[in-house]
Amino acid sequence: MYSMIMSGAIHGITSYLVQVEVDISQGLPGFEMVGCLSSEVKEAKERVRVALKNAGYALPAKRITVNISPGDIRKGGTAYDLPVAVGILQGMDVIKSETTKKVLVIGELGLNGEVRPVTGVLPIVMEALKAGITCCILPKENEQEAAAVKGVDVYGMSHMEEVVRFFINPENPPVKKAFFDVQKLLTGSVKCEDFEDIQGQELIRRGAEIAASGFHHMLLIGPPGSGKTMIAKRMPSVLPLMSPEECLEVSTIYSVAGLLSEKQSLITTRPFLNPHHTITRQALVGGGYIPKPGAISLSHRGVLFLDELPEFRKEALEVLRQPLEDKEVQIARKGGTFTYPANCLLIGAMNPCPCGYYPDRNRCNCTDYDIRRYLHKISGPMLDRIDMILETKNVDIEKLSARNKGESSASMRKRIEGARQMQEERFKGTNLLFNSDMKSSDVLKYCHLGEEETMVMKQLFHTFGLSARAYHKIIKVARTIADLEGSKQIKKEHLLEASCFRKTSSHYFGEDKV
Amino acid sequence: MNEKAYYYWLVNIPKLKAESRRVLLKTAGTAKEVYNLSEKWMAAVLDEEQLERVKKGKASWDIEGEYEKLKQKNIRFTAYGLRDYPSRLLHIPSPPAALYYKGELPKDSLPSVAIVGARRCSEYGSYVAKEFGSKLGAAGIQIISGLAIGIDGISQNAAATVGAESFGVLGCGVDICYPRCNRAVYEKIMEKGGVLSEFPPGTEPRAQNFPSRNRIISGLADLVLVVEAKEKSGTSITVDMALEQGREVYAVPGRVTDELSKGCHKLIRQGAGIASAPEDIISALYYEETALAHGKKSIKESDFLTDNLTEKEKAVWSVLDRLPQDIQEIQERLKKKKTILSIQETMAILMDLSVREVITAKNGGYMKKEVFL
Repeated sequence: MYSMIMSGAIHGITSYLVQVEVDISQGLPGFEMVGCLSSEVKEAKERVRVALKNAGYALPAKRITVNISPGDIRKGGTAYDLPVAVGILQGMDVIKSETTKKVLVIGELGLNGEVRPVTGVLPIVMEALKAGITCCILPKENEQEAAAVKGVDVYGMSHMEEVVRFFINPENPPVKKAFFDVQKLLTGSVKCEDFEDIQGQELIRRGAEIAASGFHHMLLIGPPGSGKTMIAKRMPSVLPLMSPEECLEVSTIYSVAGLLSEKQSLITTRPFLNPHHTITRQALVGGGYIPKPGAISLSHRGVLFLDELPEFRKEALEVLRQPLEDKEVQIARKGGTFTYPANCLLIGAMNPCPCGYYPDRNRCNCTDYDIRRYLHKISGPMLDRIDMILETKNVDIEKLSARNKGESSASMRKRIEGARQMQEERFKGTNLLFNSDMKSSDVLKYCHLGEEETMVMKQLFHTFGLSARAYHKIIKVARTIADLEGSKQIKKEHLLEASCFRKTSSHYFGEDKV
Repeated sequence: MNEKAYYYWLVNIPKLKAESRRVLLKTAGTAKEVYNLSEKWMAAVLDEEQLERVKKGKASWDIEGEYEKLKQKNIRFTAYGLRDYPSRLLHIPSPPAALYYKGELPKDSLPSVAIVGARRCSEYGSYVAKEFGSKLGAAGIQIISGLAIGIDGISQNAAATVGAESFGVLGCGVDICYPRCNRAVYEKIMEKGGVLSEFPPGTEPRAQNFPSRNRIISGLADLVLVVEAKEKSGTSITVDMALEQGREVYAVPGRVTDELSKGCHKLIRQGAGIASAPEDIISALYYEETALAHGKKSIKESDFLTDNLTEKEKAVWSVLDRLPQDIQEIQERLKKKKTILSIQETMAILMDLSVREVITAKNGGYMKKEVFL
């Protein structure tokens, strides 16, 4: 007898539905699995046989053939155990075929019949919704992440027996329908260090505020102990809250990477990744036979903080160039090309020279050559993609010992959320989210300059000999500054402030590079 | 045949002692006569080993051909005893036997000042070097230095920029530009001034060459100006040489906390002149009180510059210095003056003033427009 169960698979972070076909017929007793399967999928037959036996259903002495279609895509993972088992039960007439219609089944089986968690549930359920599936049966541990998708009934199962009971009597399920309120989770506060611990440093605070509002990539440069890491670590506390769509987008990546758990079934706060500088390029952009998302994808919609930037391997930094530009990363493998989103806020931190104290010549003993070589580790194309470079300075002892606190993250965030709203309205109906996403054509479209403002830009060019590439950067940052103020129009002072950020740090890399 | 070709031979005899060369010249008069000196005469003034060297040198050297090669490289040559040899070097202890140069040599008739200092100089040092280089250059003074990174190169570049004559004394052959990153300056000073060296072309820059090069720097100058130097530094060699040669030494004072000014302060303590403005050097050279007395110019300039500024802009302008201050520091100073401006206001004003060229943005900081003293 023939039966068919819907299940799903992932390819990169995109997913597709597969049909698990089971046929039980007369013939030499045996269990065959076909459909371009990797070894862990083929091993399913042993797990299924024993798990069914321990759940009280011995396999019949008949010829059992399982096909997982489409047959031309290679399939891996253990998520097909449960659909195979359900298909066999249906073939055995334990389950009626009408109960499995429009139902998606995923899960790994233990020999005792236990249903175990799998990775990539979230994108599969999202795909299932599109395909018109109304109900999902999946492991208990994965139920929360799946329940974040609205419009599908999700049932989390912990044992084979529950699955069978569900299909025998779907009207009266043995477990409760999973429920999950994304919106509620998203309004929660971020547990993170607060900006109020930072005294003084107004310039950097202001820079951080602008970077967080417009998602502008930022490079912090300054001597050791001047607060570079301190600022970066506090960024999550001021980043605008995630929208439900962003939350699902990010959670999908984490789901594929197998980083979601029952406890943390969704990524509800913007990710903050702080990889050590010995990281390989595979770990940074993603790698493996079937590539896992790398740090740049895992920090999608969040912060990728690279401390001691020049200490990173050159090759690791250079592979970041394309993802930073395209906001996604493509990895080609034998099995196909995988595309992962990679729209993160890059924050780099570095010393200005090997000893760290340049340009304080009382402490710095590096030669000009040393300094240049150190700074040149950050290549021109890389600098091209960084909108803001901020110089941190050492704080005097008086300020450190002062008790008064700086402005808190919460009050900074209020302004940032305002700016975020302005951007949302502006980019409605496009795939842009933040000012930094604007390409040069978008800058022309969204950032109109008045007569006086055009004059100021001309003067800036004339006085400082700015390069053409600086033009768009200044305007994009100025747009964010205007948004922070709630101004629809970019004004003269916004442009001046934006150019001040550039001018202040241009001496490290040269005017035309920054 | 050209007299110089013989001198070129004489100074290039391998392993001939400077003392022997001097004796030979004294005996014969000129290099050509040394070349033609009979063996008997030579044996009378030289020991056997040195005599052998001269004989070998004579055999292996093609007087005309070698000199022609030098000419083709566009390198000029003079030697102690020739008429175009700088007269300032005639009277220093152990004068260089020969000078190879590209461009010109410093003129005896014009005053010359050596500006020397640290290679790893501070922002202040480079600013001062530039000011002195261009002001002294504009006053018609020849600037001598070592073409090194830092103070040397900066002052020479500044002098060449205003069209003054500037001379670089190298510790390697004149056909080698060392340090390489000063290539632009090397080319630039050649337009009006020149580069010179006592080492034959092709000599690699070696550490041991530099102290002896320093004696030529101070020797060619009437006055040695030290801009920035740590307490122990190569600059002190130049200063020692200068004192030995009887040259006047001036030092630019700095802040007492700066490592890089300690050497200068030590010199001042020992009696060096204080160079607080280029006019100090000019008047020291010309022995006259110049009309450009200190400060006279700057009294009124603040008024006309700040005339059409708003209150806030004036407040920002008033806390600026002649040295670049970073925004954080400017903000602090404003606070101390009880002027409360938000950081974004301060930044916008600073940029606005820079665009209007009332102030200058430099090396991450902002300062009042460069009007020196």
